Amino acid sequence: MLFNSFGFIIFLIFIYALYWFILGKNLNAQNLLLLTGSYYFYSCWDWRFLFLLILSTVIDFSFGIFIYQSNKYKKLLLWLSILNNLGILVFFKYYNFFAIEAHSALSLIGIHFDAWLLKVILPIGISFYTFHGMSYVFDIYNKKVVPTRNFIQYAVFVCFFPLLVSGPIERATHLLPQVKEKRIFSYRQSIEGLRLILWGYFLKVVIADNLANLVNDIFKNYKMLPGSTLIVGIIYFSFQIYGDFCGYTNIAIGVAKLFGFELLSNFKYPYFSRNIGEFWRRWHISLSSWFRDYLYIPMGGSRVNKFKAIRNTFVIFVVSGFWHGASMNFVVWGAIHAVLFIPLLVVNRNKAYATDVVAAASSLPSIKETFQMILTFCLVTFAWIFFRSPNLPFAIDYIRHFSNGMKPLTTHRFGLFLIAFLLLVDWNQRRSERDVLNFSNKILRRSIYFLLTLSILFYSNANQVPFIYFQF
Amino acid sequence: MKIFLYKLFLFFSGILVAYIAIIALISHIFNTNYLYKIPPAKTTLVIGSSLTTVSINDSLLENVFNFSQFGDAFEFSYVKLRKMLAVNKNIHVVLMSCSNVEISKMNETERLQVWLTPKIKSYYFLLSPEEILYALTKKPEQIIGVLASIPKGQLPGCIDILKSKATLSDFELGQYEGLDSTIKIKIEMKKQDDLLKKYSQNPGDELNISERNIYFLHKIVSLCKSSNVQLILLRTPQHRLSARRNEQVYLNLLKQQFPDVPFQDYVDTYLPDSCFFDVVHLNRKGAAIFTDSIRNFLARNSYTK
Repeated sequence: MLFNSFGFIIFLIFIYALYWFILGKNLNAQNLLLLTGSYYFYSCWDWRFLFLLILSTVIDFSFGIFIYQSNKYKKLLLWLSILNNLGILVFFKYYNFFAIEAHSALSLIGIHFDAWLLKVILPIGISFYTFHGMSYVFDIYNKKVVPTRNFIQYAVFVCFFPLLVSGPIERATHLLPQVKEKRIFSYRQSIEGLRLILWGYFLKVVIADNLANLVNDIFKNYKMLPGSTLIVGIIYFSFQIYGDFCGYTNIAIGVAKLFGFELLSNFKYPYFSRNIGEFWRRWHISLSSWFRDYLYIPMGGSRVNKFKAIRNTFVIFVVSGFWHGASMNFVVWGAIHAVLFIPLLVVNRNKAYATDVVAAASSLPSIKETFQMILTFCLVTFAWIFFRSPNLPFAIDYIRHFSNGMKPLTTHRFGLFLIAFLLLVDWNQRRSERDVLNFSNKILRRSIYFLLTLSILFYSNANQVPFIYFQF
Repeated sequence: MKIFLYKLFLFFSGILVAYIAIIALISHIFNTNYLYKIPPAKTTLVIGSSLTTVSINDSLLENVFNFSQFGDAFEFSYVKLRKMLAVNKNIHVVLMSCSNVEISKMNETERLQVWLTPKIKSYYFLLSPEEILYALTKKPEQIIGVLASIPKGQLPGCIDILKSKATLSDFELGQYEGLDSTIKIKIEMKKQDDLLKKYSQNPGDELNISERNIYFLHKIVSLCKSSNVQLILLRTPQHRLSARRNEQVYLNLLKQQFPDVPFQDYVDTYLPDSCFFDVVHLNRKGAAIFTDSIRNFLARNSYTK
């Protein structure tokens, strides 16, 4: 069941009505409804993997209690829990990759064997719910959170349907207390939620899906197209993936708001970043902060000597790339970002622009800021080539064809209009990623709601295009 | 919460009203009569599915206009005919493809599963509310998706119609389309074998006549009668390998339910393999020969005026 499907709208209305009108006074019943709804939502993809999700939830829930109660075997239990989560992830997501790579590596030194490959499909959302579970266990181990004894509450934290398949990756310290507390309907929160949903659908259905058609066409025919079109193609992809993933996140956060929950932010207008460091504080925030808190800092973070800090940074980016997919092009994508980030670390500029937003006090950026934003965007966009390509040789070949010559863009121009509109709206609301479409002029605001809704309807498709991050 | 729901209700009511108004406007533009006006010399209209789409090359016949289209169920042939007869008083004869393939339940089901969505997208403006409702009950999600996306897809067409620049052939509503390849006998034999194996497991399928197709065939007969137009049912040539699964049921049905409608059966007309695209479709070469047969038939029976 995709967010951009008619079935999801019906599902949402049904759950919402039951949640507030029938079960509004009973917290346990509301949680049970959310859990049942979430399991149903998940089983719409493949009911067989529901058992894996439940099993993973039960195991992490139990480990949480064991770690909390144990004095002697805390560390051992933590490692067992990590092994369990990573085991599930490796088995379903990375086994074939490792088998093929091992086969290739051993072939080079003359050892030949038949790689035994698994014919399994990747359970949707596995990278997200295993990370939920791990963060819970880590936080208990680090005494940041006390384990809940209520399985339903824990299961809602892991499986809450808006974030189940593509995040944001939540923390027990943030979401679990909300699951435990009684939710009260808030008009303001609901309106904010609807605005996020509206903007999210627009980003997905109008911006991302339309750009996807153009990007697919350019990537499919890249050998025959001029270099300028290939460059435009990858710029389009930058906005496609942003519209797709940020759109999904906005819908998820907006839907959660309708049920009285506040989820973590995942995007803060990343293409207005002034360097790579700022970009990573604004792009897929819940994943980068997860790696920062549970991998980078335990490795010593930046409070070690420069060499180790560089090593740690490199590891984080490569692992982050590998998290996206079991393929070398994702690893290279992560490594490119590491290479772009490390110079900032060396000159201690990695935390620049950590708190402020570009042109915070003015309506337009300065020349310096404009230059910084364009440069950062170009670097990020270059790295996206590796992310979008099906494999590494394809990415390299795509770049090689940049030399096909520069010609004025005569086809695929519709994307430029979409991007211009997106940038205009995003620039206007860059100071808050939560308060979207909240224009002070009432008539303008309502007209925009109206026009966006109509555009979403016009661009809706009988065959819904899945979200890119579902594959991760 | 009441205020929230009330505002939500008002907003979506507004959207719905605006949306219906936009669809109605586009539908109105697409129903512009000039678009469906065919040359006065064209007195014979061909309707039906791919069988006639690929078999009758109307550029070789000065009196015939081929308006059949790939995948048209009788329902869609009916709505197209309704419009064409209303606009073109010069039409005196309607040749309609009505084969054993087209009347079967299997064919109707296939159409609902594979063709319904694109067909609604192409013909929604010719459909009555009742016909749209029927489609909605069959595949609600897809049909809503199709209806929702209509303004986007049809806007360029609307502009062209308003500028009087558009022609019927711009909208893929129906025309002759020649096929180039020639039948691959081995592949077709395998296909036929598979088909027979499949249906031998479900012998009941042979007798499954689509009631909905027959219902619309009756409506086409009535429409032609009330418009004083001669309807002729037609079966195009089929290859010797073609497995005519419900042949007897089909022939009996035509005899019993449509005894007054002339039926031209060309199914056993001998044509060499080089004239076929597959077992039921002719290629360009076959179409040229068959078109000649149609010319002779129309001339022989003085249908051309």
